[in-house]
Order: sequence, then C-alpha cells, then structure tokens
Amino acid sequence: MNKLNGFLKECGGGWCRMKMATWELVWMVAGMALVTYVPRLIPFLLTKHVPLQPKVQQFLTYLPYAILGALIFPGILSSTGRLSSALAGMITAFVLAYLRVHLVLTVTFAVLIATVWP
Amino acid sequence: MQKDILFSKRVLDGIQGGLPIAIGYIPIAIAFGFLAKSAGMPVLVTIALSVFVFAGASQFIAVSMAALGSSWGSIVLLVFMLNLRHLLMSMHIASRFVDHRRWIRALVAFGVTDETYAMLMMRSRDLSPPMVLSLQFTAYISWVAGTWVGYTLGDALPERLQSGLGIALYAMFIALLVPSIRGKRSALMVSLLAMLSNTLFSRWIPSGLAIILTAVLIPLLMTWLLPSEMTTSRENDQVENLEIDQP
Repeated sequence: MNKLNGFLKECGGGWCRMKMATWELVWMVAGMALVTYVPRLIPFLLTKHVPLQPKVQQFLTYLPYAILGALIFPGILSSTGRLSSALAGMITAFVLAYLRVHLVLTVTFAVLIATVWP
Repeated sequence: MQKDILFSKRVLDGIQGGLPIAIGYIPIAIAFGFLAKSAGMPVLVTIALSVFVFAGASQFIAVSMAALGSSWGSIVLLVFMLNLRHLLMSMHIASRFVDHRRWIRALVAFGVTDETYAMLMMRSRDLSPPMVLSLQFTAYISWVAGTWVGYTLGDALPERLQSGLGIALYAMFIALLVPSIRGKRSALMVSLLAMLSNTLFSRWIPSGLAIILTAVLIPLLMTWLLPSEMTTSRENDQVENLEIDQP
C-alpha cells in the first residue's frame, strides 16, 4: 500500500520515519508559510471589495467540506496503530461534535477513548 | 490619559478573548509537537512550522504526509488548498477592521485562524488593532509554546497516550466539520463523497495526491451538479458555519 520512492524506507503497519533531506524541509516550511499567509493577507490589501465569479465562489464554498472529509477518511483508521481504538475515538469525536460539545473537549475525549480502548 | 485607558481596555479585552483559544490550543499543539518528533522531524523545523505557518490542521497533515514519503511540493499544494478557507475568513475580518495602516493589517492577517476568526466574529464592536492583535498573540504564544512542550516532553507521556494522541488531529477535523454541516444537505453530501473518493483514490495513488485530487474534483462535481445550492455572500458565507462552538 505504501509507495516506495527515494524518500521512503519500508514501513510497517505503524508510523514511518520521514527521510526528507533538510533542504527539502526548509522548502516545505517556507512554501507552507507562503501559501498560508498570502491568502490571509490578500483581503487586507484590497481596498475595495472584489467580487468573485459565482462559480468560483461556489467552488470555494464546497471546498472546505471536501477537504475535511478527505482528511478524515481513511487516514483516521490508521491514526493510533490499533484499528479498534481508532474507530472508538472516531465515533466518540463524531458523537460529541454532533452534540455540540466544545472543540477542546471533543478532541480531549476522543484522545482519551483512543488511549484506553483495547 | 483617556487614550491609554482605552488602549489597555482593548488589550485586556483581546487577551480575554484569546485565553479560551490558548487553552484549547495547548493539547493540540502538544500533540503536534510530539507527533512531529515521532515522525523524525527536526525540532527547529517543527517549531518553525508553528511559528511561520500557524495553522494547526495543515501542520499535522504536513507531518503525516512527510512521514509517508510525500514530496514537499505536494505537501505545499495541499496546505494551500486546505488553508484557502482563511481567505474568506480574512475577507470577513477585513470588512470590520477599522485601522488602515498597512503594517498593522499585515500583522492581523497573519493571525487569521479558524479559532481567532470565530472569536473575533463574536465581538460586537468594531475590531480595533489593540484588541485583535492581543487576542491573536495570546493564541499564538500558546500554540508555539505547546508545540515546544509536546516536542521536548512528549516522550514522558505513557506509551498508550502517545498512540492515543494520534487521533487528536482527526478529532479536530471532525469537530470542525460536523457543526458546519448541520442542516446543510449539500455540505453533508460533499463530505461523504469526498470520504468515499479519497478512500478509493488512496488505493492507487499516494494519499497526499489522493486528497488533492478529491479536494479539486468533488467540489467541481458539486458545482456542476448543484450550482445554486449554497451561495456565498458577504454576510452569509460558509465560513460562518466553520465556526467552532465557543462558550
């Protein structure tokens, strides 16, 4: 399942250790900082409101939901190293979030359940 | 004298608003610091991520992807897409921010996160520089400090807890996603479709690419299928629904 490339040594079922060279990590951090900051900055630079095309707005509206969904699944299943505890934590998080429990408490309880679940 | 009093009042207001965020950031930052170390990320890089990026979800993802062998380019691309939502949040804050000095606005822009956005939007009065910057700084300090603590002291945690922390990121995503989907069928559909397609894609391509592909294709598909389901207007844009339930 894991793709082998220049940076990856064979991974077992659990956590792998990365092998990115330092220069790559530097580029990564710099790149991440840039692509994160610029979108945050642009609205503060524009002096008048520039309306986005409706289709683009529509796309941007859906984007967060798609991204969050993709980020959660299937990654969460292998997050703790034990599928059963990952499932338990996942269900906990969904239930608490649905019950409008505060974010911090949701995360805390999900971690706790994932910790103690066999 | 009046000006000083007003200034201090605003700073205090900001710190008050930032405290809940700071408290909330601590466990997540600790989890991040610890997970980064477990993945073999050097301490300076880890701290640099919290210092220069200041975006929790994407920092976690970067570490995960790096540990699975993704290239730095695909990581940056995914981080870009993941944090694009901050553009809309920034638009919202900027529309209510009173000061026009460039350097102040540049500072405020840096501190736009899901949590600071949600908290700032709850302020009924105009957003003044002392208040906003104090709020953001309080949250920021906690985030960076927590990262450092997690990195250096995370090993001291019991082994079971260390693996339990692995779910922190995903729990955070879930906690962000679920409240924002409430009552919006199209949003629910988008998320479910994305989960499905990502799971499918991941079987054949690296997970980082699968996420990017999903993040582009599914919204495109929905835009094509349901063009007028959800609209984004200044007052009604979806970022309001990405607010976390704050006390």
